[in-house]
Amino acid sequence: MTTAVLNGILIGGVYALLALGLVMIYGVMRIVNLSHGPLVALAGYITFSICSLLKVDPLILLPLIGVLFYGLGILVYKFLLKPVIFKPRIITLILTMGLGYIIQSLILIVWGADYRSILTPYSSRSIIVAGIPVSFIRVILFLLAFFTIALMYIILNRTKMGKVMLACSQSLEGAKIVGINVDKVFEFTNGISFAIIGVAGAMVAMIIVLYPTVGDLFTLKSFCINVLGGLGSVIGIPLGGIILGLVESISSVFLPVMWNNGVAFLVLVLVLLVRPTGIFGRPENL
Amino acid sequence: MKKALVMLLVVALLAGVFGFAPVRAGNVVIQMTIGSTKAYVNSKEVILDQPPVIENGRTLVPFRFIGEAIGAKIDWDPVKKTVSYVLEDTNIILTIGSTTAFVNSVATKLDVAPKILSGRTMVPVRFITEAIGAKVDWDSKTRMVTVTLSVKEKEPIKIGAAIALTGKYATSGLYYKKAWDLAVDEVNSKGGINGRQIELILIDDQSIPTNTANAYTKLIQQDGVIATFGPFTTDCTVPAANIVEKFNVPMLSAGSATAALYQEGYKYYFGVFPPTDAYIPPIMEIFNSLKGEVKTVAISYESTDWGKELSDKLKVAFTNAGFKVVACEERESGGMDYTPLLTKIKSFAPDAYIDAGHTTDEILLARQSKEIQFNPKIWYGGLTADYNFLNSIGAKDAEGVIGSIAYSANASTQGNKDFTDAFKKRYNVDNVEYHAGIAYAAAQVLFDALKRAGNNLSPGAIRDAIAQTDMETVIGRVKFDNTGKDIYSFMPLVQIQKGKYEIISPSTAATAHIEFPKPKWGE
Repeated sequence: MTTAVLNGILIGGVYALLALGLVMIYGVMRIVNLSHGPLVALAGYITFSICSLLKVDPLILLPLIGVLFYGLGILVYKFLLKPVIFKPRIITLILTMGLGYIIQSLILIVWGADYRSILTPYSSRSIIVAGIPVSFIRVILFLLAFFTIALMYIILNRTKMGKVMLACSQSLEGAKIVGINVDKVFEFTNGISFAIIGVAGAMVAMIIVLYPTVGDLFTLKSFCINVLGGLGSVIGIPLGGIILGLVESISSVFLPVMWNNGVAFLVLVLVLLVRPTGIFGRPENL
Repeated sequence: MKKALVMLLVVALLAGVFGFAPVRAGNVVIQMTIGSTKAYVNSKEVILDQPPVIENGRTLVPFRFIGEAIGAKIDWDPVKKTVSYVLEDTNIILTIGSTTAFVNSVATKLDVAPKILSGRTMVPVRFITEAIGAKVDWDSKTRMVTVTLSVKEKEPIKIGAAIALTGKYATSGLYYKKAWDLAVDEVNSKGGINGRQIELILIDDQSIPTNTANAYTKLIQQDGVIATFGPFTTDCTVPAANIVEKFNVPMLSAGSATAALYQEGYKYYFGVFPPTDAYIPPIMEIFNSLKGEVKTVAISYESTDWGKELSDKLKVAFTNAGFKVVACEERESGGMDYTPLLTKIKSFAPDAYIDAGHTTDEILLARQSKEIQFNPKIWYGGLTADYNFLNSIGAKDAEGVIGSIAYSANASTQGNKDFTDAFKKRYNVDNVEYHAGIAYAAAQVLFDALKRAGNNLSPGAIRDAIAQTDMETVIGRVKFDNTGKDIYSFMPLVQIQKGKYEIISPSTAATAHIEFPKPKWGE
């Protein structure tokens, strides 16, 4: 049982990191980014290629991927999202969905359908935590995820840009009235979110096998975590992630393993019944 | 600007529609010299066993050589001593030693009778060429005979298949495509089957059953294929088999290992891939030999028809043989994290672990087994005999992992060396994965059946020809029982030893002994 709890928390950290890139795009910009999964996959593939070519450790590349994806985020915002940002939500939905498909096809064309794995000397190495052998990389990723989430939290609450982002998420009209340059805020939000997605993808590539449609897995789980933790709430993410991880892990101990997605879904429904906005969500975010 | 673009599109569309003429004209030019064994077919040199001769002022030429060169179907009856050509609508029958010949059942008188020289049947060239509508020329200076036949190039034989070219099974799917492309090109470069080129139409179904169903419907109704190969995975083969049966189009499956499909009473479905029953004997042979050291087994299986069927059979086999099955867990396929599953199974401390699954999942299961330090004495993964598995895990970590294969590149089956050489050369690889071997065998069987069906390519005729198959292929002998199952299929067990796949069971095919117990991951 302790093993299950520990593993649940660790994978929860990874899930949280995956889901983090989604929360601000929705919270501040009210955009549902359906290209989330494929973007994570893209980051994974790019990391794989650079690692294979330059024979460097993927962890070293994290800042580089972050910067690369920040730039990508700015571009995607400027040319794709900005024109439709105040149009009905369904348009941005379809747009991001289409972007997701394009990215998937791009991955297929550039890298082919073969599986790609990043092998490092410490891949699948085991480490003992509290007397239980667990995946070494997952512990690292958990710590990195924690660090990234904490960083995001600090940015939001202690920096000017962060507070401005929060203002936009609370009331866009109000933000415009007080003279906030909403366009610049959105640009930054998208950029930093993409950077997080990039970093998450680079990390996750170390523990999974990459194939062109692997993104679909991420999109689904990330959205669930976002809803669970509360749309638009950054603190909700680690909580949502860990809850999901724990539910999956613990339910496997008592029930057939196949049921754990069903149980997770059940938990999601229950939480929404009790708190329709998610655990830390606020009504104005919906 | 916009108008120009539209015009361009329209022109492109029209070109696409009208640009393909199904019938093309070509010439076959045969040159022979009296008394010489050197002949030329379309300028390519051919050595004859018996040179053309002149008798009674008439030139006699080798019957088989001419027939093959013009692409006729050749037959001979040793009892009646007749030889015949069938070329499109023309049927020519000659009798050795007789001056009466039949062209489309009409009797014709010859100036000189066909005879046998040096074991070769020789026939009068002028008669033959005029009967098939060719032109014959004679150069008295060089004593060269030239036969020119304008051939209406026949329409290609269309066969089709849906296979995973993208998606989680794409690596396996691509092996099929590569093997089939190779087989088709080999046959086409030798003149096709009965003079017709093979055209293989492949559709990517991503191994998603709904896509597969649509693909086969399209292949049959729109593309007009007359025979098909099966898709990859049982879940996709089930709807596909249903569709081909409905439309009476034969299917040769190399991608499903489920026995249940043979119990549906399908007449048009044939499989060369060993069914789940075939997995069991080699596994049991190894387990029975280790009875003292292995008492408990844990099984997990992917949530598909194949996974369920295989795990059920394994459970029964193990229990009957006196082993204790401590767990039999279903799992999702294509998931990201199997740690809960493996943790649960590890808690039962089984001596052996068996997973019925495909490569991507086996890779994750192996990695995650190592991470949680799950070290059973035997670790078996259904589809680990795939170089993608070995390369993703690394030889050191993969040491001792056991899997099943249906074909080995090293086996001394008929034609295997030629196939593996050609495959390695064409695709610039060092290994031939086993699905490629089975796919190639399916092509061998289908092409052989098409050849035997001759000019009658109606669905029933092709189907019957396939049913009568009894031939040696790269996977060994293939012969179908009346449910369409290959009765000679078997599924040896391999183990990764020092980065190589060694066959450890059955003992008749083994290349090495089992390394037992499996070393701890990475040691």
